[in-house]
This record gives sequence, C-alpha cells and structure tokens, in this order.
Amino acid sequence: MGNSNKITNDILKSICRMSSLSLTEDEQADIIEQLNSIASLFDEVNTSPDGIDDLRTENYLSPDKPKLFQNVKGLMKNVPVKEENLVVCPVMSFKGKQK
Amino acid sequence: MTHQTKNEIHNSLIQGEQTPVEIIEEYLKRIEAQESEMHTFIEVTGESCLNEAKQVPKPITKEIVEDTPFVGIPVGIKDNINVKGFKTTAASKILENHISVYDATVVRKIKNAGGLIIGKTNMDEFAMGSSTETSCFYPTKNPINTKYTPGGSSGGSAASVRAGHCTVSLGSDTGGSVRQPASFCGVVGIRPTYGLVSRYGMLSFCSSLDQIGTIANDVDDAFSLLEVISGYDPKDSTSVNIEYQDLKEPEEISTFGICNEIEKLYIDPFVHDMYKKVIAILLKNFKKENHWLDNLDKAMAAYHIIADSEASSNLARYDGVRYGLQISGESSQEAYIKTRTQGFGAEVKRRILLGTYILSEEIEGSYYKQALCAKEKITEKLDQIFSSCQFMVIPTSLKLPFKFGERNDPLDMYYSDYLTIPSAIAGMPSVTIPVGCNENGFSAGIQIMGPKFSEKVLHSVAKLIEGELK
Repeated sequence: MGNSNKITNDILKSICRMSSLSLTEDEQADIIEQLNSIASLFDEVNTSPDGIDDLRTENYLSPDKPKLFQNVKGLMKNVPVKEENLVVCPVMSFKGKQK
Repeated sequence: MTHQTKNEIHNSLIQGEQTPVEIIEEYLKRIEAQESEMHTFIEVTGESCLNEAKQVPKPITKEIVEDTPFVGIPVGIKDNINVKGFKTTAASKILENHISVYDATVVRKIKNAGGLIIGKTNMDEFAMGSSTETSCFYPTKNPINTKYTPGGSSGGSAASVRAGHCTVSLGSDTGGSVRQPASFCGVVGIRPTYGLVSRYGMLSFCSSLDQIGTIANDVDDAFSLLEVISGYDPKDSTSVNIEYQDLKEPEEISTFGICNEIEKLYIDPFVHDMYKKVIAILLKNFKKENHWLDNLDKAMAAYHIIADSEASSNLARYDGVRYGLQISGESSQEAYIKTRTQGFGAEVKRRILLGTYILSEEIEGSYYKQALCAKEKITEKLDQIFSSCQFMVIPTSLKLPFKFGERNDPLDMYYSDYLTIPSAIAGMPSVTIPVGCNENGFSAGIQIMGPKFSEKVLHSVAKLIEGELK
C-alpha cells in the first residue's frame, strides 16, 4: 500500500464510525498493523506510482461503468422483474419507479 | 472411520439389510461418541432426522432410488444455509440463537430427493477463514489427525463427511472454502459454475462470488448431490437458466492444460509429487498444453478487495434490530455499535473495516474498480486457455494441513486460497480430489478446473483419475 493510502488512527476511527464498530485502544494499535499488512496485498491492483494504470490501458472497463456480469450470457434474462417502469439491478431485483 | 457411500447405503436398503432408521441411528451414535472432541456440527437434528427416516417409504426399491436419489441418505448442511426450524448461526455470536423460518432452495431440493438433514456443520464465522478457528463456538478437528485443522471455511462439512458423521454435505465456496477443507480432510469437493446452484437461503458474504458446493467421499456422490441442487431458481436473480442435464456432455476431451506458474511456487514436496502423478495419469489419455495463468497475485488481491467490500455491505444488516443478538444502548446508534462490536469476531471485524475503507469515497477508484478490472482480465485469460484445452489441473493448496494456532498472521492464512481463487473469481467450476497418502495420513488435493458449465467434463475426468488411483 502506498504511503498516501496508509491506514492511520484517524482513518481507523472514521471507518469504525461508518461500520458501527468500536475498538479499545489496544485493539486499535493491533488492528492498524494488521489492516496495513493485509492492505499491502492490494498494491497488486493499485494504480502504479508513475501514474500508468496497466489494468485500464487495455480498455477492460470504462472508468465508471463496471460490467461485472458481462461474461454470464443470459444472466439478465433471468431477472424476474421485467415491467417497463421498474428498475432492475444486476445483483438483486428491486421495485422502484424510474424518474 | 466409516466411509459409506450413497450406493453402498442404497444397496443395503434395497437388499433389506438395514432400514433408514437403523442407518440414521448408526450415524447419530457415531456423532454422539465423537462430537465432544471433533466438533463437526453446530446443531445435530437428532430426533427430527429419525422421525424423517421413519417416513421413508418401505420397502425401498430401485425405482424409489431412481426417483429420489438421496432417499435415506444423511446429509450435513453448512450453518450458513437455512434449514427451517433449526439454527442458522454462520458460527457467529451475532446469530447465536437465530432459528431459520424457511428452507434454502438447495435444502428443499435435497429433501425432495429424499435426503435426511442430520445437522448443521461448523464453519469459520460468516465463512471468513480457512481453518474453522474463527467459529465463535469451537474449532473443528481434522478427523485424520485431531492436532490439525480441517481447513475452512466449510471445515465442519468436510470433516463430517470424512469422520462418517454424514454421507455427503453442503458447503459454500467464495474463494476456496469447499475445495481447501475437502483437500485437507481427504475428500472430494466441488465448486460449481457461478449461477448453476441457487443461493436463495444462504447467508451472503460476497454475493458476486459465493457459491454453494458439495462434499463427498467419492466423485460420483459429490456430482450426484450437485445434480440434485442445480437448476434455475427465480428467487435468485443470479441463477442461470440452465438445468444440469442440459450441460455439455464430455465428448471429445483431447487436451488438458497445466499452469507454468506452479513450478515457480513453493509447494509442499508431497503435494508436488501427487500433482505430477496426476499429470502422468492424464498423459495416458490426453495431450498436455502449458499455459501461463498470469496475474495470480492480482487474483488474490482482487479477490480480497471484492470480498471485503461486499462483506462490509452484506453484514450491515446485522444491527440487532431485526434478528440475532440485541444489546441495548442509550441511543439507537449506541445499540448498533454495542451489538455489532460484541456480536462479530476479530476476523469479521477486520474484513468489515477493510471493506468500508476500500469503498470509502477517497480511495474507491484505486482499489475496487481496479479489482473489477483484474477480475475481468483473469476471466478473459482463462476463457482464452479453455478455448484450446478442455480442462486444467493444478494443486488445490500449496501446503498440507496445518496445526491449530500455526497461522496467526491473517495474511499468511489468506494464502491458503492462493490456487483456488482464480476459478472462483472467474465464476468457473472446479473439483478437488484426494490423491495419495503421506506418513501422517494426509492426501494432497488436486483440482480439475474447467470453463463455465463444464461440470460433466470435470466429473468424467475426476472419475477417470479416481479409478486410476484405486
């Protein structure tokens, strides 16, 4: 993990608040070490330091539109909600009015 | 240890040597004698299972077995899959007293096929772990040597089959949680194609990777159970509209692939020898191709980014309001925090915190989207490989089973899934079979991987290897 993304005490407090979890001070010290150790693994897929993003240069995905299920042909055909005014989400179907 | 297969039990029932009640009594007796040490189950159904056994039609004929292929067979179900009227805890304190109010689709299908649910098997908490050591109740012991872990997260499911506490069992595999414990316990384990088996009624950990898989003492039993639980389910929007009998038949298998990276990894010498032994068997029947998988390290990283991100979202529902543990506080926020802090174990907290961090606005682009890119790239590479060969063979785990407490570093533990993650991340099927037996009684697990919906091909190849090894 690059230094810019290192998990600090302040970041940990912030993610604890977002996760509705609390940690004692001793636990905080331990978990920061563990999280940074695990997160070091993530450098494998992080943007490289010179700014060249080797995974994106080959147009696997457009930046803001992940095509998570593009290789499962016919998957969307199985989503049970097909009425015109309903929104369909690829992970779970839910009913909501489109604007 | 008793290793009765489905066919052995059915022959005994058809010939009138035993009744279904006697079969279940025999299994329950074995569980009672060993469970205080083995801890393969979180809950044993006991009387309920015996009552179900009494309802089995008599006499049992070949026709009944054809119509209901699991009639009279004791089945273990991982404790993150709902069985109506019994606990579903996911081995977490936060769901310690949660009773399921409905059957998962896979459980309904097993019951319809005549299967008798004998118990809910132990696991790592919310399927996060590789040894059952993160279960909030107790770790499961490896039946081969109780000083060793059975692997995980479906460690209870694999150990229960190996110990003769059930004939077959269900596990769940997100990154290798069926195959790694099956390999550690010397049994067969299958991760099917993503979407072939309904996830309705399974507690989600990482919805885009979770799959229910099967564990058995032999290849036929594992695939037979897979056939029963497969098929389209409108209750699971990721279920694919294909039935098991419509899958590609194993015709014209000519070529298999091996992965060049294997020779560059540190693999236990016994596992490496058994891997070579399987290649030698395959070479008698098929041509070999060498391939580079590429991005093995990226697969591992992408898996943990995707899994932790989805886990942080999926586990947000455990807040003490609707079900499970509830600890009061002066405000609702305080109650949520107290409930979740006391209800989740250390590994689950670690993953929720990392997932929340990964999805936080400031760094989301650096990790999550990159992980999705890596996932696509790995899938494309495997698609390309499977356009020239019909299946691949690789070891299931780099190392043999480890002792309790031996892997304290979470990152070290994560490497248990190093070779099972690529097929999981690509949504492709894989079966692990036990090969050989070392001086401690452990087998090496060898995986046969194939393209999506190639389960019948994998069955045929796994059966061939199993036959050659006998």
